[in-house]
Amino acid sequence: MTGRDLAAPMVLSSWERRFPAEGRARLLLLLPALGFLLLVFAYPLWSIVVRSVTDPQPGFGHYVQIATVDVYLRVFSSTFSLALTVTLATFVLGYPVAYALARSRGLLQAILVMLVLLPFWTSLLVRTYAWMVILGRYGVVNKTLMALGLTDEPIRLLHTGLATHIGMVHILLPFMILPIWSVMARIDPALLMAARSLGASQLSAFVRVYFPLTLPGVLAGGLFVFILALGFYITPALLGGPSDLTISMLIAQQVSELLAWGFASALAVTLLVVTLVVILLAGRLLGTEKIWEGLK
Amino acid sequence: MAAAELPTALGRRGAPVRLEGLSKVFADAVAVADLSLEVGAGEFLTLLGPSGSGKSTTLLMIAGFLVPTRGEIFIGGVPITRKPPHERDIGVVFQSYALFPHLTVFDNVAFPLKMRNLPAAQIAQRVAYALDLIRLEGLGRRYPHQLSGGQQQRVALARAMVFEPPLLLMDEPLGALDRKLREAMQLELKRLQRTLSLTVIYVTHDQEEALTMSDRVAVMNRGRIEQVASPEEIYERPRTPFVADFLGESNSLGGTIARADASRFVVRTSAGLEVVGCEGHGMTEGHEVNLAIRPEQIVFLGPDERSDNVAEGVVEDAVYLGEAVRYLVRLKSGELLCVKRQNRRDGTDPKAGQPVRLGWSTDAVILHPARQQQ
Repeated sequence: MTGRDLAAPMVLSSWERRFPAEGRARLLLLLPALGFLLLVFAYPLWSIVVRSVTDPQPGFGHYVQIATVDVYLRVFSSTFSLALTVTLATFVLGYPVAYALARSRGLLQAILVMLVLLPFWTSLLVRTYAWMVILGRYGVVNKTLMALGLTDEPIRLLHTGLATHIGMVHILLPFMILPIWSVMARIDPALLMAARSLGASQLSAFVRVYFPLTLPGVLAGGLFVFILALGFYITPALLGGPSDLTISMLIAQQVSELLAWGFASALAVTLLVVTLVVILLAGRLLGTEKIWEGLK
Repeated sequence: MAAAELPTALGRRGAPVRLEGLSKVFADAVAVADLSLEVGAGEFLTLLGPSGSGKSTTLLMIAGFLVPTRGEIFIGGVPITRKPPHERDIGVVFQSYALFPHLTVFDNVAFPLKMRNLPAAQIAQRVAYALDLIRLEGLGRRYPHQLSGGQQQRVALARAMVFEPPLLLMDEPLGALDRKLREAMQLELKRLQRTLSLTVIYVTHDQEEALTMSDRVAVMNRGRIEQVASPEEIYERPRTPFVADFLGESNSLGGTIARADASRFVVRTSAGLEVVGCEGHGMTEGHEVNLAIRPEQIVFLGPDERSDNVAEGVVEDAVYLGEAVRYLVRLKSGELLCVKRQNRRDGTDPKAGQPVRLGWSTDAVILHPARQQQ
């Protein structure tokens, strides 16, 4: 027996305890993915952070500008309110769908799941263009309205805040439905029967037992949708009007039209930091374990 | 610590329950067929049967979660068949306990009282009393997942009886507990039921549980009640071969009545063994019958000992059970009999391969008319 063998039990680092030998071998399998992430994610992120304080000259000028100029603050606040509205709308529309998914069985459930997942199989761009066709001046909606005699001339639907909301809600809906469904599917049906037997009507069994138990899923879905909505670009750019500027559109504008790489970087970093703060606050206020529970 | 001593107690006791011609037909099967049953106020009745015998379906119909195809359910003489579950005022203890994971022990137990709009002060008092009854005082602030299985079970029990329901239903409530805890809970349950004079309908497939706790046991099979009787009667005088077989072990032999008079009958089995019994239920010569003899009723006889029934054979196998030994004895006539004997450790226990004489009294022979085996 070598000295190393004798000493081993005492010097086991937390690393070794967490990843026993065979586990460490498995970690090697992660290396390619880890290398890829470092190359295409961590490094570019770092260079954006660096650029935001060096381009065109060193200093925190960009950040001061973002924090003080009215326009930028307004873009941030309107982006946040857009994300919030979209999150609420996906919740209102998605919760009943998740419930239907959780209650259905067999073929019906398979069909419902497919309907929810179908949007994932088509490109975001295609879906956004589809909305342009539907909401356009002579699109399905306007044609129907005119045929019904509800309006004489086409209503402006495309390139409005409404179009942005509709498109984003549609695209983000699955991100709300799936976590809620996964939580609902794990609720013991006996809990509702227990509530009923103890004197709760169907409504109060839902309000006092079922809904509180689905909250982790609602929080997880809400966080998903909110964070994705904060950084949405294609849909608001194509469906929204010129006045509905979001942070991502602002960043694109700075890069492609003004070649202001430094300022665009500072905007991106600000968005990232604000998003992280939201996640941390949500975790602190609502209990992170609840959110992760919803994602499991 | 009777319920009546508590000033805020609703003072309700268990009510009588009557099931009349209750049936449940699912698309592909009859789960419960024309079941009628009366349970007295304050009685502990157990529905005992194998899985698929319809006992849980019956329970779900009483609780209001399944609509009976036919039949009526009465509690305290009032028909409740068409009431929704929350208006039935029945306490239910589920096998999975079904404690609300997001509520504390206190809030779990307070739930039915809040649903009944009791004032907060009274709720607090009644919950404290209930937690005291189940010996969990001081754990009101815990969440269910912080409790052991046995504690969760007791909270479920407290929650189901804190509103003093006229009827308490329990669906295999002790199934998930280990043996020691289960036995302790059986005693505890029985104590509570007596203290509060609760009417209890208890569902289980565990015969030991049924025999220890019940005032009466209803043995169910294929959606029907085979026999309803006290534990002693159901064990000692099972009315059907199914009941004899389901409760405890029994040696089952088929045969024909060879001779019968007022006090005795003799059955000849197909292999030629003659068995003498005393309770012939009026069956006469030539009747096809089924015999059941409990293994513990058969004894090993010394060379000169006499008995109502004597049979010779050879020990084929001896299985050590700890408190007892189970022997398989091949009789000269060819039958294989199971014999159970207390483990006495006195050196007299027969060994495998040893020739033995078996004896049993006429009282030990249970006779049923042979039925078409389903």
